[in-house]
Order: sequence, then structure tokens, then C-alpha cells
Amino acid sequence: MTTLVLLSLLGFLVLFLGAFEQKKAILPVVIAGLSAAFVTNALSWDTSQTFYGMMRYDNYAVSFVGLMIFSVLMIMLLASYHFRNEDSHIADIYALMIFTLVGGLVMVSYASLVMLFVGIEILSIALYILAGSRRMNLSSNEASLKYFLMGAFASGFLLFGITLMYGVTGSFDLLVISDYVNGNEELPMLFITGVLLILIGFSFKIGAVPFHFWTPDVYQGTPTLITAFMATVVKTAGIAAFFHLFDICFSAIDGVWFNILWVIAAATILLGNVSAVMQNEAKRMLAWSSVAHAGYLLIPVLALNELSASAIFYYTAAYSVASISAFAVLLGISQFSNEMPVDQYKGLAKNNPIMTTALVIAMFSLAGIPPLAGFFGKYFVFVTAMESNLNIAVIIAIAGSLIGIYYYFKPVIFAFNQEVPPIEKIKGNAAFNFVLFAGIIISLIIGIFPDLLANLPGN
Amino acid sequence: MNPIAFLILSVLTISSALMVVFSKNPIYSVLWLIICFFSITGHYILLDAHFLAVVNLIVYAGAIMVLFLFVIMLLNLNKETEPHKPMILKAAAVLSGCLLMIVLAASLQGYAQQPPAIITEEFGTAKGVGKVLFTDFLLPFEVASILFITAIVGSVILGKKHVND
Repeated sequence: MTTLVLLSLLGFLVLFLGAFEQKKAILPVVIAGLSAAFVTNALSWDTSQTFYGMMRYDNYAVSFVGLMIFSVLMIMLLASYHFRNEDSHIADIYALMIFTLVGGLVMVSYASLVMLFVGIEILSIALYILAGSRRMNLSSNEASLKYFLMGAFASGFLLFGITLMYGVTGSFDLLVISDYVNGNEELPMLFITGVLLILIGFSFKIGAVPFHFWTPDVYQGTPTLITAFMATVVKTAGIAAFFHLFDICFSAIDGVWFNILWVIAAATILLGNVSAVMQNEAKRMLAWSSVAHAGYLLIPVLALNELSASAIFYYTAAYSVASISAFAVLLGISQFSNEMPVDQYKGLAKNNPIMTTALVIAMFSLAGIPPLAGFFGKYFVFVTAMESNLNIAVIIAIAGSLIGIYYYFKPVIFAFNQEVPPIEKIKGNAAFNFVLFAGIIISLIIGIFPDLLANLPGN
Repeated sequence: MNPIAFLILSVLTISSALMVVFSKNPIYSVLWLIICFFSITGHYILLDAHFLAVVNLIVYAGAIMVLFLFVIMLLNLNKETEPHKPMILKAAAVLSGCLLMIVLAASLQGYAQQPPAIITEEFGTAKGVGKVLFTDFLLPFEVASILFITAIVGSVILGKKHVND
């Protein structure tokens, strides 16, 4: 709760700083505020409070909120590099990012479906605007509009599902719904339809096949910095909210949704990876790769056992760190352009050792090469799946990872290409270099010592 | 609930909703949509949700529809600029729409025999809704303010004139 208030106030403070033209103060204030929020969040560890029956701040929420604050902090540092020459509406963009984080916080700590919906809407509406924040760029406008239309549609499905659920159980409270599910032998069709509509809504939001078709266009058109935001914070919040609901409410009726979600997860992994192979555009490739990762993340939801929460947390952490590094490198090379063919990585290695190292680590981690974080992320997901006897899903996921290695290695091989004239040294500021360093070190540390994060969300 | 009033309102709602879809002229669509909203307001009154009925009338039939009309007039939409979707898309949309309708209709089975819910005196009035909103649903109500400030900031970002962009 303290964290929620603190983050909201921080957003307002940044807006005021922007209004009074205190451009220099914004970044330090944002970083101090986010760090403070990280600390207050960490202090809530093991306290597990419920507020007004609407919000349950337990260890699950604390760990995911911590991860999201960390990701936002990294992206803010990148933003200071990205917007270094711009002075118009930075404060608004920072404030919107912080409000998005508030939405994410609500999404991982809800105890009532009303809060879930409010959280998702805060997160989504801020993102629709962020996607279109480069107003004079046509593809940014297109991305914003597409994301808005698709997102509104998905929210409609979700809301419809929530309504049906309320109609049957008479409550938005997760515990009441869970009691209803466990207490009734035969559930009315209306309830089951509600579950399926909610499933569709969530699949839209996390971009799972067959509700993924907006992802490549939106990811490409959106300014690269915001794409990094979508691929990390939004995906983390989405999958955490997804799992939270299914874990608490619908674990007893897995017969209803299991087969559907199984097909969705398998199709997401296969289609995401195969489509990524065929991309020549770096950002589109990362977009398809994020679709594929959504598929891996659905496997612990399918398994739904006591290991699932930890597996999802570790996977999202590893994935977020690697994605932020990958997008930082992309941002460094492509600068303000929304389009960057993969062969622009060519000749990166000669003059930019740090960026190349970050790229190599990020790509290897995303591909799941030991001993990097991404490998253990996949390992925990597979262990969780085996625990619930999802052997075929694991085989599909492994096949997907093998395909993945091909396209994750492409930028790395291009970076060491010596046939073309090497890329000039790209000058990053201190914050940019810090993000690269942090990406390298964290990917290595949590890869070598996976126990640091492995049991975090607890029960 | 008065069955005859319900029947009339339902026929009106569905037929005006169909007219929204089938009208060639977007302005007519909007006008039909206003009728549709009015008849939904009637349904709310039949269901004793008086506060919701008034809000629906003011917000949807009033504010939102004016906005709709403005946008359509500004965009100058007419028959010539209407996008033509390929036949296969139309067929797919009809098919999936029908499937959704079948699922929803089927899931309603068995609900006709249920006794109506017992409601209190205050149900649906501004007083009753206010009480629930400021006690049970206080937290979402407050958090929704973040949603609104986000939307306001967004409209400023998108609407403001920038010097260099």
C-alpha cells in the first residue's frame, strides 16, 4: 500500500516538475523515488496484508512489484540517454511510465476482480499513449491506434467474463469465487463461459497465439524505448495477473480450460519462434521472440503446482534483464529510427566492446545457453511442467528453444562480421553504460547463483 | 418487472442496434445508436438501477454521442470513403459472431427458472450506490483516479502543439 501511494505521488511530482520547467531535477527525482519505492516494497516482505478486501500484498506481489520497479528503473536510465537532446514532453512520458507501474502493481496484488480491471486499464491506457508518443511519426501513430483498438477489444472480453462471473457468484472477491468453485460439484455454463472469456482477454494482453497478431506491428511502430517497456514490465504484469487468478480461483476446474490453454501455449511457442526466424527486422524479431517467451511463460500456468509461481518469477526476471539489454543495444545502434534490419549489427564488435558483450550475453540468455539466467529460467519452467506430467508440452518447448537459437545467434554473428566497415564508436552516457553493465552482471549472477531468486514468490 | 415494457424495449434495442450496423450513412448509425442507448436506459430502470440509468443517459446518450457526431463530421465520412473489407473477412466475422452468440445463449440455459434476487430499499439509488462505492469499493474508486490522471496527461501529450517533433 505504501508503495502504491509512493509511486502515485511520484508520478504527480514528476508532472509538477515538468510543469515548472525543472528539467534537470526530473531524472534524479525519478530514480530516488523508484529506489524508495523499491525499499518500501522490500520492507513489506513477509507481512502479507489485505487492504479493504481489495488488495492482498503478499510475497507474490512483493517479488513481482520489485522486479517491475527494477525494470522501470533500468528503462528510465535508458530514457535519459534516449531523450538527451529532447526537451519538450519528457516529464509527461516519465510520469506515464510511473503510472503504468502503478497499474502493474495493482495487477499483481489484486484480491478482487474490480481491482484487476482497474489495474489493467491503468496499465493499458498509459501504454496506448506511450506507443504514440512520437506524434509526427506515422508508424508510431499506427502502433498506438492498433494497440488501442486491440486492447479495448481485449478489455471488452475480460470485462464480459468478469461480469458473468459476478452474475453467477454475486461477488468480485477472489476468495468467494474460489469457495464457489470448490463448493459446487457442477458449475453453471455461465460461469464456464466467464472463465473462457477471461482466458481470451488475458491471452490478448500477453500476446499469445492466436491473439498475438497485433504484437509485431505494435512493437515495431512504437518508439524503441517503449517497446522495451512493453516487452518487460507489461509482460511481467500480465502473466503474473494471469497466474494469480487461475491459481486462486480456477485450479479446481482445470478440465474447463486446460486443453485450450495447452493448445494456446504450444501454438505460441512454435509460431513465435518460427516467425522470428523469418524476420529481417531486428525489432520485429524481438517482438516475435517476446511472443515465444509468452508461450514458455504459459507452461507454468498450465502446470499450476507449487513450483509454478517461482518458475514464472525467475523466468520473467531473466527475460526482463536480457530484453532490456537487447533493446538498449538496439537503441544505441538505431537511435531514433523505428526500423533496423538485422544486418545493421554488422561490424559492431570492433569499436564497441561493451555493447557487443551486452548483446552477446542478452542473446545467449534469451536463447537459454548455460550458465546464463535464461537457461535456468527455461530449466525451472521445464521442471515445473514435468512435475505435472506435461511431457509433450516440454518437448514442444525444447523444440521451440532449438529453433530460437538460430535467430538469437544471427545478431551475434553479424556483430563480429569483418567484411563491412566497422560501426563507429557509439557514445553512450553514464546511465546507458550502467544499464549495459547491469544487464551483463545480473544475467551472469542470477545465472550462476539461481537460488538467489529461485524461491522468491513463496506461498 | 413489467413483461410488456421489457418486450417493447428489447425489440427496440435489438432493432436499433441492427440498424446501427446496417445503415450506410455513419450519421444515421450514430442516431440509431442514440435510440439504442435510450432503450438500454429503459432496461436499467426496469431492473431498479435508477442511478445507473441516469448516468447512462447523461454520459452515453449525451456526452459520448456528441463526441461521436463531432468526430464523424470532422472526418467527413461518407459512402465513397467507406473501407471495403474483403468477403472472406466479412464471412469470418459473421461466423465468429454467430458462434459467440450460440455459446452465450447456450450458457444461459437453466437460468430462467431461478427466483429473482432480493434487493434492499436503497438498491440502485444514488444513495445506495454511493454507500457501496465509498465503503466496500473505496480502494478501486481511489485507484481509478490514477486512471483518469493518466488519460488526462495522455490527451495533453497527444493534443499539445510541440515546437520540434
